[in-house]
Amino acid sequence: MTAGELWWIVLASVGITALLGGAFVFAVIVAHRRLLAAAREFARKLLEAQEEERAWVARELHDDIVQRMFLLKGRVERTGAPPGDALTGALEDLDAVTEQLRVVARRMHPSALDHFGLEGGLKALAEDLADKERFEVTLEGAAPALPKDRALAVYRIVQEAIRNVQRHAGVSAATVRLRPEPDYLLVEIEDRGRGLDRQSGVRPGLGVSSMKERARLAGGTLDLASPASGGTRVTLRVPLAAGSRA
Amino acid sequence: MVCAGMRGVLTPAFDVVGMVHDGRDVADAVRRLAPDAVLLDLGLPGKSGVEVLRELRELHPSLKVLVVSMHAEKVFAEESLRAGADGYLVKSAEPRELHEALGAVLAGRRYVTPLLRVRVHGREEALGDVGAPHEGETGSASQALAQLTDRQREVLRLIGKGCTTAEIAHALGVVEKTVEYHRAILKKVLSLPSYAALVRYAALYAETGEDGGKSG
Repeated sequence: MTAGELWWIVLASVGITALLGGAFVFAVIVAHRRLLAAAREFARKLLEAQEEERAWVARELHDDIVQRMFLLKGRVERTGAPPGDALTGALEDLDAVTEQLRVVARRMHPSALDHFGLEGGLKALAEDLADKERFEVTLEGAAPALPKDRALAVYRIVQEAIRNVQRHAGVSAATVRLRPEPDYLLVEIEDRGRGLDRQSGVRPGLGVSSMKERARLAGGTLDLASPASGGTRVTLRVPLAAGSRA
Repeated sequence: MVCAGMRGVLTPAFDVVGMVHDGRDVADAVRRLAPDAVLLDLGLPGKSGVEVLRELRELHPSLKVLVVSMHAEKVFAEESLRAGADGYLVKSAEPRELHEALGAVLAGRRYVTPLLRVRVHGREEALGDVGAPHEGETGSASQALAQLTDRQREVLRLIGKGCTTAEIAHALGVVEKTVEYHRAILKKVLSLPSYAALVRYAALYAETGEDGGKSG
């Protein structure tokens, strides 16, 4: 075997190895992409199923059980209990339970969103937080009409962002700003609390990843930042037209 | 079940000329039966309540529409009035309130469930035009004081005397959650900005209003 022949053999084996390696890496990438796509599709279906179930429970509670509690209360009242009777207290307890059921139903699924769109839904959220949790939400700007699932995605992201403010920022107020741009809706949720860097020991948890996932599924993007002026700002962009991406 | 209950509550003071159970049938029923007023549930199947409202407003401008809903959120009242409703009533077991609301809208006045003070077209609407615009915290609170039930006044007095939630619950024979519920309603009806403001207001009420307070 001459030196030239040896050289060719070495070159050929290196070439074959590189080719095989390349094919393997390519196969791995394809498989990985497929897996990722399947995982994302699964996440989307899971979220959809969860929302459907929540909406069902909320409807049952609100439209049926709460309604029946009222009828029940009416029936008891018509029996004519004298004031001061133990029954008066029981009826008040019934009122309080009914109110609690309403709150649970609202948090399960925001029916204001179904009736009046994103802005209506966010107004109801602000009202609920002010009433029940002493948390002040200032709503600024206006939202254009969005497809229902997209409006719900934005609503859930705002809800989660506010929950994060309540848990980590150490303040009891936040501003939600809605600004329609030519092809996307810009939503900013801002607080004047401790900011991301100073929330020591708090790793971005399920809340943040689920916000990002919802944004992505809606064809949008989500960023978290702590501006130099302090506090935290969540910036969400979702496309206005169905099927497009922000 | 609910419709039958409603009919029972309305008659004989009012004539119930018809009932439909689908949003798509409302406009047609109104055309056929020509009622003075419609009690509209926002959650009818077939068509959204807001669409039905807009349709009625367009086809029958003089028809009175009172929305009767299970939703006790401000935004529902605001948006309903904006879409053309004459009144918004949260369904409750008290027939008196339904009569009052229907009477108000038939007389050409607006009616909004007392618990929901809403702002529509820059005007504050509440209590069937009884609630005046809020001038200041105490001004509006003293007006709203007249709207409290005896029981709510009792809770207010006990808060003012410094009783704890547990003590109030014991005194009234209810569970503590119910006292919290009363407290939330008091804060809302009196339009107070915070629970601290409610405690201050209650203290003042307990001090000065124990005799005169009963008459509002």
